[in-house]
Amino acid sequence: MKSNSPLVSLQHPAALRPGLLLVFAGLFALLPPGAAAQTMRLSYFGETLTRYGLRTGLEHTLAAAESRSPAGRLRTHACIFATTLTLFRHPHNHLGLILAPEIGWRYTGGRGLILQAALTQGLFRSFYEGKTYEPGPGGALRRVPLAGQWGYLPGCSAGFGQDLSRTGPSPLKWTVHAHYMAQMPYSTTFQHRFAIEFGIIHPLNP
Amino acid sequence: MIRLLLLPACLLLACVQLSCTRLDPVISETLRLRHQGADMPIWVRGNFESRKLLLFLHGGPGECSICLREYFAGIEAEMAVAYWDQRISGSASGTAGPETIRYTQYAEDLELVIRLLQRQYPGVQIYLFGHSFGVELAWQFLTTGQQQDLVRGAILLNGTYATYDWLKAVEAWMLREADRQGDTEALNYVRSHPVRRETMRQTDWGAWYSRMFRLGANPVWPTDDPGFRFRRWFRSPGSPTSQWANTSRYDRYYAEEIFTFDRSEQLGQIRIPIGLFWGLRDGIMPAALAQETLRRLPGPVDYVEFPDSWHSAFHTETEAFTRAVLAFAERY
Repeated sequence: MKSNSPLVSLQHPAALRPGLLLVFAGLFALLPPGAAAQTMRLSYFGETLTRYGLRTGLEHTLAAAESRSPAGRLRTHACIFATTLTLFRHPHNHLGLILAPEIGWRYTGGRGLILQAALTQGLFRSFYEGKTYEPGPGGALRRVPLAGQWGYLPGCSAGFGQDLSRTGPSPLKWTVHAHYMAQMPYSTTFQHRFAIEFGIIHPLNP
Repeated sequence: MIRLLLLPACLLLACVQLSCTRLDPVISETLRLRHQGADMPIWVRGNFESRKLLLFLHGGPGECSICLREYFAGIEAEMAVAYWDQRISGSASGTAGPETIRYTQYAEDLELVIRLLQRQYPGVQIYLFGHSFGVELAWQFLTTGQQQDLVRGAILLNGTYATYDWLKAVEAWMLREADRQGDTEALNYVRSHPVRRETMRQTDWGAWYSRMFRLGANPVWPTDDPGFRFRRWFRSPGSPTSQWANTSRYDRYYAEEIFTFDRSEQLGQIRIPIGLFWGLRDGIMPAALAQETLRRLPGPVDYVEFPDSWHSAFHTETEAFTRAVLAFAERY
């Protein structure tokens, strides 16, 4: 069945259009060769707030610019590349798995206030809860193992938080992100998805 | 740091707890049918001791079934209810396109859903419950081949057997209501756009429905209740965003497929018990259609009127509706 989606026509990731794969590859290519992640994210990920899940991610600072406030406090603008892996559950519907490279901007103010925004390219896979059946060649119903749906999940996010290292001894940052994602294909169109992410960022080499 | 880690962990555990405590005591199973590009969820809930199961055919087309579950609590206490989201409806997913939105495809899907339920629950007695578009789906299914033998009976609430007859009934209802309410604009519109079989494909649905609702065709909806909206968004196995995506796919249906629907000649083939339920105040499916349906049915029919209901008696007269459904299942 042909999809009307402008970006993808897939039931399986092998059907992803080459251009889309280049976008993914391009994001990874931004990393310096051999670069190690500098921070790690661990968050509650609530798709539509209550469809609970966990998100982990590794972050690299690709570029940063520093300045001083009139009071002499350090301000930072950073371009962050992150790779995140998310698992969430929509109870009695499906489990969702998202692998999403992300590129974004993060501002850290003198007193530790964080403002940030990011764009993501996600690869999505759902696993339906319960048992899925389909008619076989003879018409008899047969079980479909690990039934679910593949999808492309581009999105954007915006958030805020605080860098605790700016005001105290803790090396942690806490952040809250609001996410918008578009899952496609979905019935030959796309599905809006919203999520909230709340978690911490921990330096790997403090 | 420990305190910061505890916050997301506690939120996660709270949601796990909330979802776990929603499980039902007797039966709570989630199934899915994959067919012709559509992945259609079927949630089976309720008391299964009687081996009787009500298969909900939701309206729309494109609406949802599990989102209306709270109105079926009394029925679930006595028998099981299967909430099936039809293709390109509710939380159904997959890659099925608008070209599969055909009455024959829906009927084929329904046959597979019934066979799946029979496979999953041997000996189960299945009763169809169709609402609005679900009634059209039920008539399409029941009047095709010998498919009616797959179910014990069918309860049909405010729905039609033919698009033309429905439009004629609505036209008469609008003329009467517009005259009674002194709505000259609506009266003139309906008079200047008479429903004729040869021109009904030119129906301007936006103009038609806006006047129908202005005249009070169905002034109450479950979504009027903020609590219903909250539960639907945050505590339901269904998904409003899925439904948004799905309901955007119906242009071809309203331009072409809907006008092909006419089972008026086939209603005479019905042999199984039928429960014809009707909200008498409905303007979407006026009560005159109930009489037309009764006139065409040869077999046993339990006709139940809901005098204080419009389009959805399970919402506006939940207790009376529950009693009527259980009485039908008990009798047949």
